[in-house]
Amino acid sequence: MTSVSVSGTRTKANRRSARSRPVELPDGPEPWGRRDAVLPGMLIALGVLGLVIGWFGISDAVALERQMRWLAVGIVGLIVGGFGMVVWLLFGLVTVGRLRRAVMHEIDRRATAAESLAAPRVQVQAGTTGFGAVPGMRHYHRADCLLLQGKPASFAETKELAEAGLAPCGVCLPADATGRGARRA
Amino acid sequence: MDLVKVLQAQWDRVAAIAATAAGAILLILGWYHVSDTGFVSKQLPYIASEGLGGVFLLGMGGMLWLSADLRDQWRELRALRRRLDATGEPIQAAPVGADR
Repeated sequence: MTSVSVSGTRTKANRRSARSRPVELPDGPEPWGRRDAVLPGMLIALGVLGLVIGWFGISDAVALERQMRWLAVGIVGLIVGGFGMVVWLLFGLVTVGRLRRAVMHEIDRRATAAESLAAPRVQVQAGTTGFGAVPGMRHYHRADCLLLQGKPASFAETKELAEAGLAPCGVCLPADATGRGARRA
Repeated sequence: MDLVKVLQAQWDRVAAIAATAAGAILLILGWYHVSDTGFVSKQLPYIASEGLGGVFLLGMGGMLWLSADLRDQWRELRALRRRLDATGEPIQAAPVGADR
């Protein structure tokens, strides 16, 4: 499906939006629709015709030169028929691939949604006083700070933390700690 | 196991086997007939009929077998799609470039 701009020329944006637009998936009992069968069917039929004509022609010909011509007709028929078979398989592969990608994409989307639902929610760590920090951190945080969630934090009073060289977190605003922890405007 | 049911369910694979077998027989017959005569003008008709026909049937057998595999994949994916559709909103085609 292509989109055409007002002036009749296809723009890059139009092409991009056409590519990102969801395409309707086929839902037939087979990967091939009727339209898919037309071209390969014609090519295979032409191939068979070429083979039969070449066979009949070569049977009637006696001279080697004439026989070679009919043999060429047969070889062309073989190539055309083979091309038809390849086109048939390609159509099927493309359709199956589209459905496979759609199904895998949906499974992936649902799995991601399920994972995000199962992820631990932000919870205030119970029974903690003061501010928390994790070894290796350069800042200390409130107990409910997002940056502390799920980490093995140890809690202490601000004085001790400041003595340890930790600065207050700029996100959870422990402003009452030293007076310099307020979030910068 | 009911043979008729198997033939109905696996008609494409049965046709593939038949086409491949016919192609192989034609090629062997062609080789036999060609080796039986020393004149090129007598050999060429066998090459055109049995040789090319055998190769064509072998290709046909391969195509039918691969088509049967594609049909199987299609059925499995369709069943999966039905199950996903039944438990959520209907599936649409993946965006271009997704899952690559």
